[in-house]
Amino acid sequence: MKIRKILIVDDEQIILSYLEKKFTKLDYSVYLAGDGEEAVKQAFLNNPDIILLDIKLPKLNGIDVCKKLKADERTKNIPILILSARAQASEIEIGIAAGADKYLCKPMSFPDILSEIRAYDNK
Amino acid sequence: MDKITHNHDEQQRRLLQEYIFNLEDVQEQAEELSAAHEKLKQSQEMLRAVVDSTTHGLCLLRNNIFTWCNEAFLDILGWRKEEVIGKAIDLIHPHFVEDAKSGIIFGTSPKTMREHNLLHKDGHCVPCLVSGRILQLDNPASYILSITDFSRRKQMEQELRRHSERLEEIVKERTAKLLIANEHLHEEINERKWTEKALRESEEKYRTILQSIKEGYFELDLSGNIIFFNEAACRSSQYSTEEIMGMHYQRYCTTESVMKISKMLREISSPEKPEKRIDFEIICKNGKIIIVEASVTILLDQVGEPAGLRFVTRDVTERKKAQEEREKLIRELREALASVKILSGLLPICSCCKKIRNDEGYWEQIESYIKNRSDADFTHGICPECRKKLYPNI
Repeated sequence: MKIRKILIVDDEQIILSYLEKKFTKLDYSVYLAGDGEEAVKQAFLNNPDIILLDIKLPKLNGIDVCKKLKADERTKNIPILILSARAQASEIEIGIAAGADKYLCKPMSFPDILSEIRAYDNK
Repeated sequence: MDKITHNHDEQQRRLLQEYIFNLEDVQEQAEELSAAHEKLKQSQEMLRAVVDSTTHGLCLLRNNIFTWCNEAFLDILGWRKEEVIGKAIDLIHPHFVEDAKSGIIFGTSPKTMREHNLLHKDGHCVPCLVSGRILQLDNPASYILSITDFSRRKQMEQELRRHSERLEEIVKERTAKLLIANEHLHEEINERKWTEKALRESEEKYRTILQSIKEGYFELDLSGNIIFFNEAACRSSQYSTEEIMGMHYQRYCTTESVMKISKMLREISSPEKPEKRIDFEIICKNGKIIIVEASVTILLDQVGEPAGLRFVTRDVTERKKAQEEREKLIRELREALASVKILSGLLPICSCCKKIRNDEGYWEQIESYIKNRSDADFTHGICPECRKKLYPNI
């Protein structure tokens, strides 16, 4: 099954706007969340095919969002790709331990991000 | 310290991410712009090709001054480009500005084409269809004009009008002739109908007569097949109507009769026309032979050519039989008469020897003469006088 619905979670509006524009052009359905709580809400509401999740978020950080979603029956199977500016090994470990399927470090070009998303097509 | 470094690193990464996304965005926009530019260029080239190849004259005016025109425009009005660009519209249309203001040029829509006489370079007027559109590109307003040389079309329209008038005249004449012809046709049809009716009645009468007469009637085609006959023909021959139709004369005629009829058919087209009356024999269905006396005429087709023979027949078998018997009787009578020996008339006899001169001129003894011409015979004796003479002593 091809990935069609993406939930993008980031507190930076520029990031959100840019990614939304790019993914929409490629016919993805894009849902946005600017904070952790909104991210969880969107995930339960829209059941996206994949989540692109930043770690540094207001209200609820990305690690907690990841844990919460992976603990819930409804969302545990949704692949979560962490896209974070925190690139230390420890942070990466924490992210993976929280249940993230992949930990991507900023900065990344859009083609690379897209390639990571497409890797989950038919999975 | 580490935490500060990490925070700084994180900050830098975030900024870099924004920068990368911005750059990508700008790059994409640049590509889109380049593609749009390319498309525009292609459009321009296509437009230029269209404008250069059209036969409609196009020109652009700004403040009533020519700023651009295409080749077709120059061809129609006979100018060169440098003689037009920068010149006022009055060059080709002296009252253009007033007419434009009053809506004469542009009409109510860009699609409205109006006829105007535009000035050719050599001074004559060129009838053109003109349409225009005001372009609000900038200040002052400019407009585009489209002109189409109407002169050829006008000429053709005039010719067409002339032809059309002529055609109308011809149609009128033809219609009048047709009406007359139609009337004649109606008359002819009525006449024909009357004639057909008369013909039908005549045919009916003819058919009735034919069927009621006791004489047989039949017609043969040139091949000798029966093509028409009456009831009497059926009756006398004892064939049914289905059997008779199409029957060839060889089937119902004796050999001699076949020869006679064949000869007649042959002579139809020759200068010696066939005999008008013949007798021939017909073999009836039951094998009986009857003799018919036929009156024969030549059957003609619709164009007057011989198409066969027509026979009116009468059964003369009995009559023939009676005739034959009569002739037989006469023959016998004659024979009988011939055998009756009569002596009559003057007989030339020799006064000395008593020989008689016969019909052939020979002197014949009297005894043989009489014997040959009668039933009499002779027995020889002697009379007393001759006895005395010949035998005086007896």
